Amino acid sequence: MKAACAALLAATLFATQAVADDEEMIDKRLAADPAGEVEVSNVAGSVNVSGWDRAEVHVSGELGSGVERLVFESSGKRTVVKVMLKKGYHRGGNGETDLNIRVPKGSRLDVNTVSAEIIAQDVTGAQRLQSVSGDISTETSAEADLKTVSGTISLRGNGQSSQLDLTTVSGDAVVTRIAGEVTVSTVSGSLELSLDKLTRAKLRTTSGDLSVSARLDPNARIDAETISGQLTLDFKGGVDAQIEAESFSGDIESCSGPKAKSTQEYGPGSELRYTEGKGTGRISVSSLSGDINLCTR
Amino acid sequence: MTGKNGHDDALLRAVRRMPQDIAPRRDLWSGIEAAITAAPSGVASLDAARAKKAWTSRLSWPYALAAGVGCMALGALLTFGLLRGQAPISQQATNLPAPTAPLEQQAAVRYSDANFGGYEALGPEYEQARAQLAIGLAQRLDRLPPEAQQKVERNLAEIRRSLREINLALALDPDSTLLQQLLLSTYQSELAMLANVNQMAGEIPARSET
Repeated sequence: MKAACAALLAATLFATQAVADDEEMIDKRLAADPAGEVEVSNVAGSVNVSGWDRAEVHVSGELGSGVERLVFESSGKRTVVKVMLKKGYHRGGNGETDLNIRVPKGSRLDVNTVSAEIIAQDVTGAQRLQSVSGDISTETSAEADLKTVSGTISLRGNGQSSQLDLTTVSGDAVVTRIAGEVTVSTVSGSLELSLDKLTRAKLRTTSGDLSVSARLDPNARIDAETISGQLTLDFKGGVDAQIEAESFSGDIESCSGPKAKSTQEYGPGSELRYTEGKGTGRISVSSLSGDINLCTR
Repeated sequence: MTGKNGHDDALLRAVRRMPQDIAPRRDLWSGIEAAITAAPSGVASLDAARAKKAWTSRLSWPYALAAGVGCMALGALLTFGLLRGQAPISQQATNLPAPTAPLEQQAAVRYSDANFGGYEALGPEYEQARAQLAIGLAQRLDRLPPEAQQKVERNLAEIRRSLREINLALALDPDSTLLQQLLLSTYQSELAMLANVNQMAGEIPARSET
């Protein structure tokens, strides 16, 4: 009887230890350059990064099963937070790791995940965030390069001029209050951009719908292109630009300029050309079969 | 009753009754005289025109030959395009590798379906870069979650379907700058997507080797 109880106790202790090994809590910190670079990579779970006024990086969270170890090191201006999976670990296991990371506010952020979602806030340095299928949510006033295959992107700016490069394959995106230069492309995602003053924009979709609402710099250069997706461009607050829109077989609707003309006597092609205000900027829109809705009030 | 001769006589009488000459409404001589006076410069310009014509006619035969070859090539492309165009696009799509076909296999396919402006038209470097990226992606694709793999393949197929549509339209309207521009940028999109996914797959957190 005594032997049985001892065996049961030993088994319980062993199981508890195994769980503890599988789900390791972490709480680590390292000194870091206030304007350095923080590089984070994780597979599944989440990466939650927020800026603070301290010159250190603090990592807390829980490492999931399947994780061999957490690499957390700093050298010069670069701090690395990397979740290393066990050899032979398969995606099907519980490899979800949730990381909460505090970084110096002015850090340059470089985050890379597979399915882990990425959330960033209060970081004023440039951001390069990419996830294969995880969602990305961030706010920025600096340069941002956001990429995903199928995750959704939510980006908020503060109206200050910056540079945005956003790419999705099939993921959707909502972008607000970004200003300056914008390059956006998707294959089949649905993109909705409510922007501040643009100086340059290059917008491209293959079959996804793309909608942009923005104010334009007088010398703005806007190039938008769609193959079969719908393109909606709404430029407000006084536009000074030469406008050219052309579609091979899609419709062109304009709420402010003249009506689109047919480019072929018996074909479906149409084009629209007019000048708004002083005509100092340029808006060029083209489509194969996608419809174009254009407003330059 | 008036016979054929009688009818002709009546016409002749009517013609004779018409005025024998018509005076111009204004004096044209002054204009003619001015033109004769300006003859030297006119001759010079005629000589220049003849010289230009002779020069262009010396050059014209190679252009004519090139144009002829171009027309023949274009004719062949158009015929090919139209013949293929008779099948619905969806049916043509079945002639291409299925979206789930291995990417190595897709990479090896030279898009003969692109009846105008195929990859080779963008130069060997472009074609090589594209093939390398496709092969690289094929090798790395299994690093992505299965759902993401399917989405990548489905969207690559979407880009390639767009390329076929543009090519079909170009076969009917080969001079369209709009279509040429869309074709080029769609090739660029394909290349960019291959490069982006390649890079993302390449940067996926490594497994420990310990």
